[in-house]
Amino acid sequence: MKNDDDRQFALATAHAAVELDVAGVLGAFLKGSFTVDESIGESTWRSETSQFFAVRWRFEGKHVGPIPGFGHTFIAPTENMVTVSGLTLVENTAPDDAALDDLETLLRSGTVVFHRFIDWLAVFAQIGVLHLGRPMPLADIRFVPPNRGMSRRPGYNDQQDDR
Amino acid sequence: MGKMPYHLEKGHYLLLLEATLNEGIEAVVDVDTTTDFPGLARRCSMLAYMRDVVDRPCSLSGGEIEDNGVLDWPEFMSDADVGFGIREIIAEDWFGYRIRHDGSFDTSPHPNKPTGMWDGYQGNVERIVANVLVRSLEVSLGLDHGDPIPSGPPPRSWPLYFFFKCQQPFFEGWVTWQCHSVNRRAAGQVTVIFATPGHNHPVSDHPIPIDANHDHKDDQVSTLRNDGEFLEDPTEAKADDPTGKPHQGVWVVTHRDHKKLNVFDTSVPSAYLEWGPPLLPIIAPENFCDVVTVQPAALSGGIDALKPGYVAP
Repeated sequence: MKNDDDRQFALATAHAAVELDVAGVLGAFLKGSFTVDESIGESTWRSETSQFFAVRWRFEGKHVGPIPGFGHTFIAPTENMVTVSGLTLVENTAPDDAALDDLETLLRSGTVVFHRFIDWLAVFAQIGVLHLGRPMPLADIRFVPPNRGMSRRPGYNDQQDDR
Repeated sequence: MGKMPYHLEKGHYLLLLEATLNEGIEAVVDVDTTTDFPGLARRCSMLAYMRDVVDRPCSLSGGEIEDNGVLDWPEFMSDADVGFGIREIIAEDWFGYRIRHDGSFDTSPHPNKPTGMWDGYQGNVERIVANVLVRSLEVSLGLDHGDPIPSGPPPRSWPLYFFFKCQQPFFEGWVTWQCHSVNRRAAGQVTVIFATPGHNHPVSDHPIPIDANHDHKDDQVSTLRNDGEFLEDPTEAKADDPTGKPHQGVWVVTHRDHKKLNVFDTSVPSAYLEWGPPLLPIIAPENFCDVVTVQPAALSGGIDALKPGYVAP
């Protein structure tokens, strides 16, 4: 996944890193798949010491495993379809170093830091632990988005599909 | 009513409803051959009326018919009896109706809006309440569901008690009963619990009001009151009120104070795979060993057992 020409950490590397980071954690309780939202395009910049990549992503899957909930208790699987959307800023703290060939090894080396901004409120609502007070199936619940202005692009839950 | 600082509430309105339906029932309790009491006629009237409410057509788009609803039972206590605009409060906050300028109710449901003050809940609360009243009255009178209302004495006359309890995921009415003796007409009890969703008014995490400025209101939750009706560590569960009539009471036993443990910032940068879903906040007592017993004030939804019971209008 590295740039073969200059062995630098590139946007494609960041995409792959985020996929491993997201699937590695969410995949423990959601059976599904990861996609990168390409709509924000090439989003990279540098600070004095680090190089940053912005990756907007979505992980969709069925809730099949226990999720840490309250303290040491767990939210039992609901079989609900859950979409997790987030934005991860991938910070390469060693931008001038050549990237390692093996991405997993690179990520475990500690030079890459993740700043994750995830819509957890929507996740817990889809599971049913918010508002309803306890997990429940969502078969009969339909969502109609509130009017938040004309510029708002449709989100994953704007469609009236039955899950 | 409706600003519950505790999780369970009786309050003035339900006390009045009980008084309306139970008035004079102690005579039946005392003397089993006594069959009539003022509340009995009201029960029969309400049962007949609410059966008609339940039998009314209900439209998915239009909702309930505007006339002859639950609140139109002619013997309900008036606003003057309760001391505030109870009719409009129930219509608006409980049933989710809009009040027109002429005072009539717009009963049509609003799509994708919560019903009344119930947070995140859409439902036909009026129809649930009507069914609860029908069922609880039938049980109290010893009638099978749908039985004709007897013109003479009913098989039994059990006292009726009402509470409401929040916060639940959706609105429910629980009709519970207990027979104390099959040999006596009034030796039993029906307890109705309206389990309601929340309504965005704060529940107090401490049962004892904190009132530094002595205005009888808790410094944080204004509906939590200490105005002479509140008691900390009550000792006597009195059976009668100061006039000698049967009375009732409620106590709550819980920790003196609770604290909410906040979630942590999930956006803090971390290394590969070193993250996870945020832990939802939990509530824990400030002092694990400190448990108090409290008699909430009537204005906080409790019952002042040391004042005379309410008189039915």
